[in-house]
Amino acid sequence: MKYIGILMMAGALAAGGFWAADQWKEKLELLLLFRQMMFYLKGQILYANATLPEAFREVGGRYAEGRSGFLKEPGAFFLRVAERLEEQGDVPFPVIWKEEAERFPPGFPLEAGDHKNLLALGENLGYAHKDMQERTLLFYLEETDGSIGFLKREMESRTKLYRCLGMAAGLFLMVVMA
Amino acid sequence: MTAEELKQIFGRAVPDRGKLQEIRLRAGKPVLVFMDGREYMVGREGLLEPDADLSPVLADPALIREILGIFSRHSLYAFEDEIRQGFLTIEGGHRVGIAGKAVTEGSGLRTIRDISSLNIRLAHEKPGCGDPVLPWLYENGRLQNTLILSPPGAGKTTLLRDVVRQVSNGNRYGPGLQTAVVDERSELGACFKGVPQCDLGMRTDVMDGCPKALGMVMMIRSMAPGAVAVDEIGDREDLEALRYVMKCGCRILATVHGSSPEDLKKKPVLAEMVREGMFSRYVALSRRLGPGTVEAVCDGELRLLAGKGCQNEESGAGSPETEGKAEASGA
Repeated sequence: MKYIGILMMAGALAAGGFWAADQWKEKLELLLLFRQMMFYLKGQILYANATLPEAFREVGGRYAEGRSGFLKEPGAFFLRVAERLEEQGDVPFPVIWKEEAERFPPGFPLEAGDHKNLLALGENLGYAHKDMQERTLLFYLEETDGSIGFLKREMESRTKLYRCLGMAAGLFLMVVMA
Repeated sequence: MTAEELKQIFGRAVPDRGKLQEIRLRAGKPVLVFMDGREYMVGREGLLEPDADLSPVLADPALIREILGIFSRHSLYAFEDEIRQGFLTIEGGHRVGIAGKAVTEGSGLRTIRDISSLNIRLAHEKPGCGDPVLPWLYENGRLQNTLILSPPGAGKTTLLRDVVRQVSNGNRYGPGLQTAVVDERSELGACFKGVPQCDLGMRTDVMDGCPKALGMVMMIRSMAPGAVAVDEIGDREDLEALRYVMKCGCRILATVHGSSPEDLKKKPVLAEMVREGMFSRYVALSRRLGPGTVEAVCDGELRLLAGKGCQNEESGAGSPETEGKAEASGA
């Protein structure tokens, strides 16, 4: 019984390492998804001349479908923003954007810096002319590209590190407790 | 004041919104409305006469900004081209005229900022308002090229909308025609996501938000219409496109700003259209007895067919079959 307990604890530690590595991967997938969505949003605004509610509904609908877990959240976020823009015309867009961007579920794998960039995007969107929309989106994309580059650079080594640490901790526990 | 508060005040002050024609908001000035051809100030509890000694509701710049945000659905950028022309058309086909600080670029206008005045003109759908003029628009069962003219706010778009509906569906004077509407300002069909919200008839295709000249040529090529309808023609490009439409054997229904058919001769492009005999019917409207008062129906040579230049709604509908060269009534 004792050995089974030790094995389970060691397994849990190793799994923890794998979980931490996967978190890193999820962050990257999420940012890549946001990036894709912003490109699509840019197309909707610049080329289809869609208003914000129309553009968010179109992009959100497309990216919420067929996804699950955290990856469904960005699309759902856009759809919530579109719905509120249509229903609450008198509430300023930055307010709606900020409120909805703070409604991501607990544990949503978005770093504080990336979340701040997302909030900042809402401050200038919809205002003035199309050039301004393009520049606002390009600025966000530039920031996101920076985060994606960092994650990509670090991912391989961090993934290895977390997995090894998890397994090493498990082995260490086994040795100590056996 | 917020837009929500103004909405509540309107709810109390203007219970019958169907009669509303115009709402005017000017920064720091009283909110004015036009109903049944009369002007009123908006008070907190009801409408006030313009010279009333009571305190009216005042519009402020923040309110105008907020209303503009609502109208543009938080997306002013999407109305850039329309703002350059001085107005935007909102859901429902209502036209919002704007005035403020013009920002120029070379000899053109880049945009209008610090918008301080709004003129909200409410679109009305009046099925049947074309009945009095319809008999004059057909000859031997064939629709005539028709130009509806009136000063702003006299109901030419409303009349054109109903004529298009009846031409498309077919009526007692002629069979239904495949009709193409080029709705540059989204006023005729009031399209929402490409679908007309106003009834333009069962055989009508709408090209929404497209420049008139380009749209007419496109519709001729793609939809093979029997009639083409456009609102507010006037420049040389329109003239060229109308010539193309006529060469293709299509009928034309159009509107233009002007107070009488004679007026057209004073405007270079329109005078050319008259000289060429492009239109064989001219319908002149005014606001004399309320929007849509038909003042005259003339033929291509500007000879009076109906109306004496002044008509009223009580005179009844004239018809070529029943009254010969009788009078037309208010639309």
